[in-house]
Order: sequence, then structure tokens, then C-alpha cells
Amino acid sequence: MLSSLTAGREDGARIADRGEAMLVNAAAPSGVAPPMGQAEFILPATDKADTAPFWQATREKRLVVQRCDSCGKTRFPPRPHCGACRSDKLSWPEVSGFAKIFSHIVVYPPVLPAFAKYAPFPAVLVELAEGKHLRMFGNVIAKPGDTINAINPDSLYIGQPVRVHFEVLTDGVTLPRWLLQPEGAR
Amino acid sequence: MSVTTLIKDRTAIAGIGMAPYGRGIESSEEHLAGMAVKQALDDAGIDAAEVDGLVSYDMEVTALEEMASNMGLGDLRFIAHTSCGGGGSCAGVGLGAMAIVTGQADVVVAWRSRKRSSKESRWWMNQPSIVRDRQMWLRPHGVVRTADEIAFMARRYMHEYGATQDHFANVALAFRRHANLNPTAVMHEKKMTRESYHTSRYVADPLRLYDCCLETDGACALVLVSAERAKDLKQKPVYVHAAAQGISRDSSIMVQWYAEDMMRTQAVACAEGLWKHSDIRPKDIKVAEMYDAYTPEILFTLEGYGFCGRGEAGPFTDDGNIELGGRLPINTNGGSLSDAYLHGFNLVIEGVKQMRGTSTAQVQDADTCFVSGSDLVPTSAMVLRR
Repeated sequence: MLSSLTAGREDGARIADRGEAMLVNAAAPSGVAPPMGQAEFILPATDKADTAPFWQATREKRLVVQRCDSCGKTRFPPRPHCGACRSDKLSWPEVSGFAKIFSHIVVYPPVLPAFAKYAPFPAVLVELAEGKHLRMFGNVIAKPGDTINAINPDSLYIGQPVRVHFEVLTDGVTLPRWLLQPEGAR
Repeated sequence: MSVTTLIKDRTAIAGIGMAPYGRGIESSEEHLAGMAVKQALDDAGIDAAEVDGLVSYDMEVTALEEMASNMGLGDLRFIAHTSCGGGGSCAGVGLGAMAIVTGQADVVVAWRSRKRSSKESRWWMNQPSIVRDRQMWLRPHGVVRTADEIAFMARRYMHEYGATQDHFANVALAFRRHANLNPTAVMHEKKMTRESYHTSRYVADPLRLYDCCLETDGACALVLVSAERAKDLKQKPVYVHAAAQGISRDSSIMVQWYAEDMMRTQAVACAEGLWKHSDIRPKDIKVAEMYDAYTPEILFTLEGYGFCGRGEAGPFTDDGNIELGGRLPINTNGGSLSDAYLHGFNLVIEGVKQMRGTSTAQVQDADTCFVSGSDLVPTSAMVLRR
């Protein structure tokens, strides 16, 4: 399934890296976009000034958040200013990648074509070990290479420990996924 | 004069209009919008040329200037286009009231027109494949539809406060029963039972199909004038007692994903402004029209505006409490779940009908009504009285 996810990698990566609002579909002739919503992947733009360092880090298999260099407060998602002190001096510290499920759902059809072959599939919101205010969305897997629907959604629970795993979707985009951890993991 | 007396009871809704609600309606959104505005002006007995203020809220297809031309309105002196989707329903009324009280306008029209019944009109179907805004943290993971987002909040709420799907069913069933009384409700003839609720398909577990609002076509509109002027018009005036808008701190759309307290919705900021300006308290409200794109939103709104305490809204919906004849009847036209989905503006219209005494699920002796927009986006609310 990983191979199907990475099919079209070259086109996807090139377009994603240019950051243009074009549609990614390996099957489409160059320059011809499929109708809106019909793309094979839904990808984040990786070239936006305020968020590019996050995606650069995931490509390097590091999970980062933002930290205000004036008051020290960490934040996610990235913002140009610190809401606590309004400073725009910031850095991107790496976090442990340990987290707990804060909430979870199961997505049933109808969904976008990009996700149709997986539905129903679970999705999670996790709370990072570094703070209650640091939450990220994602999909859960039991082992690297799993598809996003491989886990029985009924087995998920709030507070369940997970750890980040990086899934390379295209040359430009590596998404964090959340690998289930044994009970009692940090 | 204290600030709290500025708009209180000094303006009134003098006319309402409803274009047909339904599915697969052929008329354009612009056409439907005009039908509703025309009917509202006729209802008030006010000439279109007298209109000098016009308000809409975002995701509206018909531009302010196009509406002005379509309806042959006079020279407009007050125009506003405010936030935010389902949160903006009461905002236009509040802005219009401010404009009239401060002399910026004499006759203000507000409206909403939507066509969402065709599958192609689902906004999430048109998701760009490269996400450039803050949705980049959600969409690539398959969290694409609003239902998915609300489901996360519903699950967390159930976990923290012990609410159950049976509480969500209370909401869906109450509003359907109200729609069954309302001949213009899209679901007027469709019955719902607790069993049919619990066996409806999942959209985003824990949310089922009957937890989600309708997708429909339609439009509605209202005319707002000074309280003084309203006394001389055709209809019984419905006074805008208080109105407010709000964005709570640590805000994000649709859910406060990144706030430490996720349940501190946009309603918190709005409620503070609303009740500060209102002599009527939550306990005095006889009927409520609350934004209900998804059943759990009713629970969040009940708590956000202080109709009950945090975590108490599930049991609050038990025993028919939110149905006609109950302690606080809610969404007496059927709401977004069973009347029509018009970004909550049909709830404003229903509030006016309740205060006129003309609802198809009329609450006896109702003289106060609470109306709210979605508190999961920048929001607005108001208190109406007769």
C-alpha cells in the first residue's frame, strides 16, 4: 500500500515543492489538472514562510514545534507571532515524538477520492508529551508501512500512548503518523 | 447613558420573508435571495426605495451591490459583510441595530441564500489537493469534512462529561418532531424514531447521519427598523433586546483544537457581551433557536451561554425538556437538522415568528427568545422580545 501512496511521487514532489496550487495526479498529462477534489493525494504546501520549517523537519524525520525566543512559550500550529508576548523571534525545537490520543474519530464514506480506498478509517488528535497546548492531527498505525485503515478503530481510546512515525508520501512531503505504543509507554 | 442602553429594544424586526426551502430547486441563489427580500419588504409594508442599509455574512453568493440593484433599493448608507458562515446569522441584525440607533441607516435588510442540495455543491468535495492555509494540519490526514471535525469534539466531550449518543438522539428527535408540525420544513413528512436514529449510518463516528444537518436550497430575509417606526407598520414589532458577536481567545476553526480547554468555544466571548447588554437572563428565556449543524452543538451552546453548567447539557435534553411543552423548547421550526440548512438564518426567522405568536410549534406566552449562530466559528447571538 505504501507503493500506491508513493505512486506519482515525482510529479507530486515537483508540484508540491513549487508550492503552486496545482493538482497532483500522476495519471494526468502534464499541465492538465483533474477536477477539484479528485486528486490522488491531499498534500500540505511546503513552501509557506510560516510553516516550511515544519515540513523541512519532517523530511529529516524530526518532529518540531515553534518556540518563542522572547518568552520561551512553545506553540503549534506555527504562527508568525507569539500570542503570549507578540514577539516574532522564534525557533523550531525538536520534540520527543511521544504523545497520547486526545480524541479520535472514524471517517466513513462519502470521502474524497484520495481517501476513498481506506474508508472507513480512524483519525486522531494527539496531545504531545511536551504540553497540553501542543496537539496534532494524524492517522494511527500499528507498524510502519500500515495503511491508515489497518487498525481496528474500536481498539482506540483517549489517553492511548502513541509515538511519531514519518511516512514519506512524496519527495516533498513527509507526514507524521502515530504509531501505537504498548500500554504504560510514556 | 450607559453603553448597555444603546441598542436595547430600540430596533425591531418588522418584516420577514422565506423563499421556498427544498432540494433541487432550480432558481439561482441570487434569485432565491431576491424572493426572500421582496417578501420581507412586503411583510413589513416598506417600499424597497426606503432601504438604506444592507447586511450579509460570508459565504453569501449575492454581493451587496447586486442585491441592491435586483431589489431596486435606495441609495445605501450602511453596508456590512461580516463573519462567519454559520456564526454570522445574528451578527447582521446586531450590526443593523447599531446602524439604526446611531443614525447611519433607517431601514436595514439582512438575508441568507444557500443552494447546497446537489452533491456537487458540497464544499469539501472541492478541497484543493495542496492545502496552503491552516487546514494543512488536518486535511492531509483525511480530516476534510466539517462532520469529521465536530466528531473529534463530540468524542472528547463524551469522554469528559459522560454524554452519550442518546443525548444527541434527544436533539435530533426533538427537532424532527418540531419539523413534523411545520409544513414548510424539508423533513415535515419524515418521522424519526429513537431506533431509526441509532441505526442510521455513521458519517464520522461518533456522529451518525441524523446528527448532521440537511443540505438544502432556500433563502430567508428580514427588515429591521427603529422601534418607533415599527409601531406604525403592518406587523407586531419584534424587538432586538440585545445582540453580540464573539471570538474567544486561542481561537481556531472549527474547533478550538489548540486551546488547553477545547470546550471553551466562541460562545464564551459572545455570551459575555450578550448577557452584559441584556436585562433578560438565560432563566427568563422561553424559547431558543440555536445553531444546529450537528446535534452536539446544541449541548455546547446550552453550556456556552449559561443555560446549564459545564457538562450538564446532555441530561438537560432528557425528558422532552427541549421539545414543545418542555422547559426550554429549542429550534421550533425543526432547525438546520430538520427544517432547512440556511446557515442559521432560518432560526432567526423562527425566533421572530415565536415572538409574533405565529410559529407552527408556538410556545405558549413566549415573550423572550434566544437566537445563536454556530459557536464553533466566529459567532453571534441575540435576545429577541415581543
